[in-house]
This record gives sequence, C-alpha cells and structure tokens, in this order.
Amino acid sequence: MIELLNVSKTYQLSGIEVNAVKSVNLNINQGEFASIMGPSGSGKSTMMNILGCLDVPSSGEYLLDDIDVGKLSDNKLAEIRGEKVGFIFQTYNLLPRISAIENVMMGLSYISNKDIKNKAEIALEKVGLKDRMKHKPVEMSGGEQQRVSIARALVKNPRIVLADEPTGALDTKTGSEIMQILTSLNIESKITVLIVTHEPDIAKQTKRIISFRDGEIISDERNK
Amino acid sequence: MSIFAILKTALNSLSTNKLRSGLTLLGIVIGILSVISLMGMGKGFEKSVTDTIESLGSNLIYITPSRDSKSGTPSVISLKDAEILSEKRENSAIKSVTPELVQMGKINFSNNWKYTQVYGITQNYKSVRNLEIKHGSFISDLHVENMSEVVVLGINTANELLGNRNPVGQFVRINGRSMQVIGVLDEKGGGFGGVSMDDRAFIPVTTAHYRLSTSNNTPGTVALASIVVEAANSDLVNKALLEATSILRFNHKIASDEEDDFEIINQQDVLDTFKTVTQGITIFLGAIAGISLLVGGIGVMNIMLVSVTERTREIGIRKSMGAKRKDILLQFVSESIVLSTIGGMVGIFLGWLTLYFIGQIQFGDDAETFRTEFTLGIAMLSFGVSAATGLFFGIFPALRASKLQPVEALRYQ
Repeated sequence: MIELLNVSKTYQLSGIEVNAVKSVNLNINQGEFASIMGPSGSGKSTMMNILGCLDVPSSGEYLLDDIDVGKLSDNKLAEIRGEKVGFIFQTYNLLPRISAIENVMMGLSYISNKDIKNKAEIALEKVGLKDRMKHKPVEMSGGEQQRVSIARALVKNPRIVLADEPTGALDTKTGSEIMQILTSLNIESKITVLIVTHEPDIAKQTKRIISFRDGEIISDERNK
Repeated sequence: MSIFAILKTALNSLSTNKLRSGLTLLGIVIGILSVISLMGMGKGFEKSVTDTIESLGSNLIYITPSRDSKSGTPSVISLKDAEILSEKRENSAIKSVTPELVQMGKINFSNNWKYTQVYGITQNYKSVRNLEIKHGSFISDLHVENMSEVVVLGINTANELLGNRNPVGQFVRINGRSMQVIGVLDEKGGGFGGVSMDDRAFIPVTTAHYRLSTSNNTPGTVALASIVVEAANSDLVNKALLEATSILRFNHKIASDEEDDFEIINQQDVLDTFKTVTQGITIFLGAIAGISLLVGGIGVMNIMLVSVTERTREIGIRKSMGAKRKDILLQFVSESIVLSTIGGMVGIFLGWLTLYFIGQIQFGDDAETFRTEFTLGIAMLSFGVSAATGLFFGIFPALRASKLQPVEALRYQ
C-alpha cells in the first residue's frame, strides 16, 4: 500500500542544505501496525510529513495506493489527505473554540457533506466520549482530547492513520489507554496504523519497528 | 462545505473575539452611515431645489435685461415689451405674459415692520406662478391700469405684520406710501435662492413703477426686472422662445447682424443647470463619505491579516484534514464579507435614522425643515459597496492564508 523508492528530502535552512531523509526505501502493507523510531533530528518527523502527504519528497517516488504522490498538485494532495490519511498529533491540534463533535465533524467536512454529524457521533462513541461530545477541548483532560483527535482521524474511515508521538504529552496510564485504542483500531477496523515515537516502550507495542538515524533506516524489525 | 456551514464557521470565529470584531464593524458602520446620510442630504437638497423651481410654474421662459450691453446705455426690458408680447396673434405659442418689477421695500403696519421684496406684477402673474388666494382677491388688470395703491401679501408677511387680524381691508405703508391689502396668498413654501413667495408683497406693476420706484431713470417706459412668458404647452416652449425673441428684436429695432439686447432663457435650462450643480454636490458628498468607508475597509483588512497570523496553526490543521486552497480562501473571505455586510446593515439602519432626525430639525423662523431623501437605491448601493469592501479587503489576507504550506503552518506556535 505504501511504497517508498529512494526517497530523499532536502531543506534549505538559512542557506545550508540539510538532508533530512536520505534515499529511503520502505514498504508498508495494508493493515500493518508499525512504528517509526528514532531520536530527534533523525528524520522521522519529515518521514511522517511525507507519508501523510503534507510534504512531497525532493527526489524519489512515493506511491500511496499506486498513486505517485510526489507529482501531485497542492489541491490533489489535499484531496488525498482528506480521503485517505488520518492524523493524530502529539499536541492533539484540536480547534479550541469549537466542541468535540464539531472538531470531529471538521475532520470530515472537506470531503463530504452527508450525514457528518451522525458519523461524528459514532466515531466519538467508539473512543468512549459519548457523554462529552458537547464539551470544548479546554474543558477536557489531555487523554480525552487525544481521544477526540483519534475520533477525528477515524471518522473518515481512512486508509492509514499517522500518529506523531500520540502519547508524548500524556502520563503513562493515559498513554497506554490511547495505545489500546490504536491497537484495537488496527485489529477491528483493519486500518493501517503508523506511530512515530522516540519511546521504545511505545514502539514495542507495535508489530513492526522501523528505526531511523540521520535520515536513514538503520533497522526494520518485526515483533513476534 | 455547504454555504450554511461556511457562514456558521465565519460567525463562530468572529464571535470569539467580540471586541475586536465589534470595533472593526464600527469602521464599516461609520463608513456606510456617512455615505447614506451625506448622500441622503444631498439628494434632499437636489429634490428641494428642483421642486422649488418647478413650483414657480411650468413651461416658463424668462426674459431679462442684457447683462453686458455693448452700446453703453443700459439695456431695458419695459412694460411696453410685455404688452406687445401679450397681444393676440395667430398660431401663437405664447399663452400668457407677466412682467415683474422687483424692489426691496419696508412694509409697516402700526409698530410692526418688515423688509422684503415687493413685486410689481399684473393679473396674469397668479396663473403663471400657480398661486392660490387664501383671503380676498388678487391684483386685476384694472388695478394695473389705474395704478391702484393695493397690495397682496404673502402669508408669512401677512402673519408677521397683521397677526390675527383679518388682513383684507387693512392699510399698510410700503416705503412710506399707504396701500390697502386686498388679498393674502396661500402658503407656497420653497424660497431657495432668495425670498420665498410667502414672504413677498405684490402690487400692480404700474404702481410699483410710478409711485414706488426710486431709481426710475428711463422716462417714458416702465423698466422691468423680467418678463415671464408661459408657453401654451411643454412642446411649444422652444417655439414660444423663438417667437418672443423675434418680437422683441423687432420691437427693439435690432439689426439682423446685431446681438440681442436682452437675455432669454427657458425654465428647463434653469432647472438643468441647478440639477447639474446639486447632483455634483451629492456626488461630492458621497465621495467624501466614501473615504471613511475606505478607511473602514482597511480596518477590515488589518484585522483579517492579524486573524490569519493568529490562526496559522488552525489553517495547518484544516489543511491536514484535507482543506484545499479554495476552502481556506472561502473561509477567510466569508468572514470579512460577513463582518462588512453586518456593518453595512447596521450602517444603513443608522443612516436612515440619522436622515429621519435631520429631517425633523427646523431652521430659520419659518417652519421649514431640512429635506432629506432615503432612497432604496442608496441603501442597495451602500449594501453592495459594503459587501464589495469585505470581498476586496478580505481577499488579500485570505489569499495569504490559503497559500500557507501545511507543514509550516502546523509547526507555527
């Protein structure tokens, strides 16, 4: 489903060229539950931006469902993000001014008009927030906010969920609750889940660990 | 997203910063308010000028002495001219002729006195000027023939001098000469560019010349301020003008290669001239008000730019959810349009209110009010302008927002 061929990403940072990702080759199949590991600066965030179609590779090919994403226009990229990719961020990235359900509806509003309220309710129910739908993010705990953002990611029934340090801002107990939700999401809904993390404990809970250092893959192991 | 959803989002984000949105709104409100009220006053002025001129009678032609006489001797329009013009002719386009001899006079009644314009006129004056008699009767041809010392007063003059007394039959003194009041005119209003009909006094033209005039230096003739000629109908105004011109040229013995020694102008030309001027004033006022609208618009742009910067992260989140450029563009443009149309509506309402109150203010001692006009046209125009202001000044910040790269926008703290 995901195929990276010789993908590199180069930035211009105040005149100096930075090779954030160097010639990466990677295959991820439908339904996998994998993590991308690495210290900060290893290129894992850049990798996630490319995988999520927020950014395009400087060179090489990225095929998502056999579409060469690198050659698409901004609008086409937006369309793919809207239809196929669900994002979960470390800092949740919910809109603070609107309620939980409106945040979830927003996740669907750019690709569909139909029935979005109903779908948003179902998604919130799945993450156990049926009673908190009308609350605004500021009225919720970190764990609840992250669950709203999971609901926002899965409401569109995505092909892939990308989670960037999903437990990074949470305590261990809440973090493991979030990991449980992500695990069951992968098992029950057969959604491909990719977690970007620097914590080995989190990575161990996934079925495949891809480790990055200095923009290159240094190991790619499957857990038993 | 549906239009409803877009509007809801726009209202939502505007309401999160109520003070800021309110102050921005105020700029637009003041802009629209000043456009509406200034243009409304201009239009009202335009209307009152036009109405005043039209109330003086229709299908009229004015003949006055030439202002720059080449011969050196002052040109004169005489009572004789008026008599010749009013002689019956075959197929004449002229319906009636009335001379006017205007001078300032001091009118006394016991201890009351008033300075005003005293008009020397003939019987025709009443029909030509559309005047109505309230009490008594108007000046007749017989009065003119006999140089009778009689006067018809405008209603204001009558009220000021005579108060509640029955004016008919009373004697007043005009420049020292005793004259009997034979009638009072009905209220006429107007009075733009001079003394209102209601303030004037009317006496027979011959009386005015022989008994009252102090600057009579043309023996044998009665020199007039003007002759007013009424055409038979509106299609015959030009024909009547040519007819009067040729009669006067013949009578004044003007050779064919010489210029007229009088001025002749029709009412429509006067009206058109005034209309040009007053419309110019309206446009000028509108343009001044437009400046404040422009300032209001820049206020909207300023606030939208701040809003875009503040919400960079939100833009990034929305883009990661699949929002396209046009979605973001639409979101911000709709916010500024919502802002400025609400401002527009409030401004239109306040403008209407302002015009209403200005219309109630009385000025001068006679009960005249400042005329104002609130037209649907101006309201629609203002509404359109305010919406366009929102679109125009909102599009630049919105474009800026839509072009943000999702990765950078998400990284923004």
